[in-house]
Amino acid sequence: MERAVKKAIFFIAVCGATLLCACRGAGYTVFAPVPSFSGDILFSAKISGGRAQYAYDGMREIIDGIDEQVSLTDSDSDLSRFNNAVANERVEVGKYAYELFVLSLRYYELTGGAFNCAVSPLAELWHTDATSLGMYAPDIDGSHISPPLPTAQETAETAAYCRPDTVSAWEENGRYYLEKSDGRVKLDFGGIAKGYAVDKCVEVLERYSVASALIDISGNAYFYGRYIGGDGDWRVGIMSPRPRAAQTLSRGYVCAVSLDGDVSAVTSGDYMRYYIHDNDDGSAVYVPHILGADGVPIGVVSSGDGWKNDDEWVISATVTGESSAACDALSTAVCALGMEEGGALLQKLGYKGLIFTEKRYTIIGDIRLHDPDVYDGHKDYEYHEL
Amino acid sequence: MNFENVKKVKRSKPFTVVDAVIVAVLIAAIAVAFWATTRIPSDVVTITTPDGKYEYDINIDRAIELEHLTVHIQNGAVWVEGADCGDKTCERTGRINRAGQSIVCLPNGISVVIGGSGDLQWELGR
Repeated sequence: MERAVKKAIFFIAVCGATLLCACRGAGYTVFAPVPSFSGDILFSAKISGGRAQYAYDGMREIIDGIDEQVSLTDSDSDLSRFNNAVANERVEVGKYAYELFVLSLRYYELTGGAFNCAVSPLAELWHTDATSLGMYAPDIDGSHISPPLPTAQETAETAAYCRPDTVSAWEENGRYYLEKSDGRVKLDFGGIAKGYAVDKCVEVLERYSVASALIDISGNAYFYGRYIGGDGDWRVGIMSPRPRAAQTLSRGYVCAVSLDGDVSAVTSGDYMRYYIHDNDDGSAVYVPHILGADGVPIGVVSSGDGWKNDDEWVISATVTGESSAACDALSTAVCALGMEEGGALLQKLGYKGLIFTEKRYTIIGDIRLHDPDVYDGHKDYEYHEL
Repeated sequence: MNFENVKKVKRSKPFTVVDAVIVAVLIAAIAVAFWATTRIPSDVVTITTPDGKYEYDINIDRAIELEHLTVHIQNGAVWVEGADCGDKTCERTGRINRAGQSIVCLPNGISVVIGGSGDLQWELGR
């Protein structure tokens, strides 16, 4: 009997250790969404393997460091100081702010101006900045305030100086500087900073030997490693862009996709942040927050002296690829460029995407739809091969 | 050489019936423990506020009145009404009914999450 007891103890020890290892591998430590980037953005993570808490704390530190440099609500941030500077005034900034500008300028050039980090004056002119949208976004009961729209001439005049290529950036003795030749230029990294922060967080995950993780900064998701569970693929639902926010209480999925690990995915669209302008003739113009390369919000075209909605425009663009900063910038650029031009850009740069207009959708690259008969919202749109 | 010891070893059985029973019981216990520790309930709505964390059964209809908003749970769906914040993003999120989905009111620091892993690990475009 003594031998049996010894064997039992041995089995308990071995099986207990195995169980602990299995549980550690199978489960994720979940970190609930927390406000970041001056409280406007949510950061959430679930981490498996490695030193999860260290990795999480390291990521929070990185995000706070980026925010300190590029926050526009903090008048002392590097970016606020740059925006308030006069022409030809050299402004020293931190490395994050410098790198973000360099990245932004690169995507401004790659996208032919469709991604533009210098559109703040245009956003204010069109009331698509965060403050204005807070006031004008329609309520859930459909009631809304109709703000006045600028003229085509005002738009063109403002767009003429919303150019990041009038800003110089350089490094000198380990310090970083920005300088603008036109004092009216203001930068806003809202369209790329989340993706940039995600890429920096991925470096932290590597440092702490994390096996698998999902991190998300308000819609910029990164799927690190293989998913622990199922067949190892990450299954991700893409929210339906129609009806728009405030027009439905039950938003479904337009589709779901299966993603391999080590990839980011970002969706941009016209349906969450927008307002409605009522024309004098009773027609309504939906004005989303994304601006086209001409400075006019996507889906809005001139009509006589006023504005109306176009027949077709990109209402949702999901971009997936290695760099979250690139996905962030490119998803916005695809919305601004349209399905054909935006799709061609993704193909050229080697990124994958799902693009929906009011009527059609297309898939760029070998994106695998997950259970298309269950997540079947895309069937309301006509498939268009590019 | 001690032949008596050699005989004793030869007579001993490496794996007795008692051992088999112990192993079977252990395997069963481990399976139950594994299931219990890795299972994530899919029917729990977790509401986190600055004051604490509260859990509700998604299958029981109710309205939870908080200081800044009301969370409704009805017919397996969850949504928010009556938010006193400026942007009302939480209300505009609409109804959620799948494991892993969430509603967040940033200005008031409130999050509402449906527990479980579900079929999807994440969603984009909300």
